[in-house]
Amino acid sequence: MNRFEEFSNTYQILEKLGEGSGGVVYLAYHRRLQKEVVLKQIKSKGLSMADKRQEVDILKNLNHSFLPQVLDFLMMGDEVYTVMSYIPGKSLARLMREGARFSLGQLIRWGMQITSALNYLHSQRPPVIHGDIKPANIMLTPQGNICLIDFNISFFLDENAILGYTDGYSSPEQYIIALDSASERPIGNYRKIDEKADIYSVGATFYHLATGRRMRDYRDQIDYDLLVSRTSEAFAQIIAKAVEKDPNKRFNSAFEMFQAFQNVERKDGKYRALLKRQTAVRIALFACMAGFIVMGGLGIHTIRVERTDEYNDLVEKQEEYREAGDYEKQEETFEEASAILPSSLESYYQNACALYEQEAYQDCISFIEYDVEQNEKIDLMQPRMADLYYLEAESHMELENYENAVRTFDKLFQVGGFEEEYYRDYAIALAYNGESEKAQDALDEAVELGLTEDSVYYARGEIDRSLGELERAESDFQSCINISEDPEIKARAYVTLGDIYEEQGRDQDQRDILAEGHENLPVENQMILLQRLIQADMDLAERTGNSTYAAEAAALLQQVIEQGWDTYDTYDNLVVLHERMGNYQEAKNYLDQMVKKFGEDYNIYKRLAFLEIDYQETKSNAQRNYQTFAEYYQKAEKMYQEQLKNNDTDEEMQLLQNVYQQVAAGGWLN
Amino acid sequence: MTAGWILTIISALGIIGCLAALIATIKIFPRQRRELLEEIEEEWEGKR
Repeated sequence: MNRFEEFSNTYQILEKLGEGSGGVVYLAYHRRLQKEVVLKQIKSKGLSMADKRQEVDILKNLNHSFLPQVLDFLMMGDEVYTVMSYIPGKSLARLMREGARFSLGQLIRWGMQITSALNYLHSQRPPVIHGDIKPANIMLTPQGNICLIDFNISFFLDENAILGYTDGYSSPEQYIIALDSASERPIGNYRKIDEKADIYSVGATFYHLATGRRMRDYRDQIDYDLLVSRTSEAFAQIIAKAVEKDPNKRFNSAFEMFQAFQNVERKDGKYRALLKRQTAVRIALFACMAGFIVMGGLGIHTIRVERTDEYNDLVEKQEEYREAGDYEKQEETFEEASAILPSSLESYYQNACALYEQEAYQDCISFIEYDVEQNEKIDLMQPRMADLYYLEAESHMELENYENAVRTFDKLFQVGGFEEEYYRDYAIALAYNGESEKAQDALDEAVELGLTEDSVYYARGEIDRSLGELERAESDFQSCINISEDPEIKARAYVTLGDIYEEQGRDQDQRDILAEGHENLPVENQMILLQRLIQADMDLAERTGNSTYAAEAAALLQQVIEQGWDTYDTYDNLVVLHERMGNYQEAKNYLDQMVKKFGEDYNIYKRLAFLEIDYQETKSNAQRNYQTFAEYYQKAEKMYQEQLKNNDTDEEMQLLQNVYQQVAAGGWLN
Repeated sequence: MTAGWILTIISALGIIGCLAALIATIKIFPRQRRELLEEIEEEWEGKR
């Protein structure tokens, strides 16, 4: 079977479609594939298909949605035909002739399709250059998509082939190379046709499609304003770039042009304005958030400062209440302050001072050991801890627990309390604990740290006293009193010297030295001294019967009340003193004050009962009436029995019971 | 209510508000862009 017969067996020619650049174009029916195909003659002078196997395979393997499929190549004698799938529909050129106008959306969609197809062709190795892109070679399928037909196969197959041109669509380099290699126009020195020629043709084609005007030739410029008015600024920019005379100024690739079409909407002025607004809103929100974060930091800092200020104010109030003797309010303020800043020691220190001043030494020790040392929120290495340990040590000293006092001083020095006074009292504690050598060393350390002479005398006095050398101790304390200008040290010296006289049974000397201190010292330093002096006066009054001492004691007790140092015992002692002095009304007044200040208790009724007895005994038998006495006794007895479970027995109540029985037995209660 | 607390509360509310607004933009802004693109496309379809 010859070729013609084989041709007839495979294809049935249906009609002639026209003339292409290489020759005739037929519409045929492929009997085996049972579909319509296009047979196109291509320029093949000197072309051997056998030599172009690779290129033929490339063409036959082309497969893209917007390209027709190359089915086969036919050699009919000297003629070469390509067999390609038939694309139904009309070309864009025909549609334009029929008056069709295209929307911008369509142009963008088709632009993406064409550049996608071109990108596919240009990506082949070697690249396939279409070379003849124009509206006539773009088919619009019934589905509304395009198909790019009629690419110049002979140009791909034959490197010696000259690529033709079409006015208004072909690139300048295509014109120059095709027409005149010695062009006078200064439009570049073109050496070859490449992908950029196709890009130019796409641009020129779409300019025609958009405006209805075709560029005359490669020298013509596009009407940019017209293009913008028909499409958009972004679209016009794409076309303008594609049809640049200089290939280097066009898109670098069909893919780049595809991306430009893809993003054209995003280049729209309104879209860009929206992007700007949205970016501005986001930046503003971030800036506001940053501002609020800064404000939050400032707020937290301010809260801390306010809390610290509030805390410091409360600590100041604690100190004021303490100085005024209002220990109840002091404690309330302590609770408030420690709740605000539980890790700060200042409020704890004030509370410990208050307990020490009230002579609640065991409470002071417990408070420091449990509420402070075992408090997880407190850093025990704070400098104020030394002062707290000092109070604890002094409390141990007052309770004569010298071993604990020494241990506490050791803790004090661990937190760095290197004060000369601390070493002084440490020396005293060591001395009372029987460690006289260490005591001397500590005192020497204190002197090196700058301990003043009066303090040295005081410390030596305590050390001598602890060693039982009372005469030397007396001399040391006297020297301290003589040279010291520190009222606190002086007060301690007076009190301790008085204690020495008391131990020696020298009650008159005790009273005299304490009275001297009372005259010489400021009243705020006399709290303990006054207590000792009052007791000394009361003891002397009892021993000697001299009412001068009782009167002095009463006056001193009144001073204690005026200073705000009064306790229950202050009033109780005043009642006893006035009773002894026969001032029954004065005594009763003080008992009334006790009821108002401290509430009723058996002791008050006991005192009233004794007062009543003494008062009745000033009268003649006929005038005596012990009914009131009986009433007071019964009240006292009832209250006494109620509280007896948890308290010690009171010898005075025993005495009062005896008196009552005597009165009752004497028939005075009938 | 001290100045410190007022500042802190306002800043907390402000931070929450800004965060909420930023989270809202994750949904709102793409929708706005999409709607505008559709509007532009329709406009271009009408441009013949």
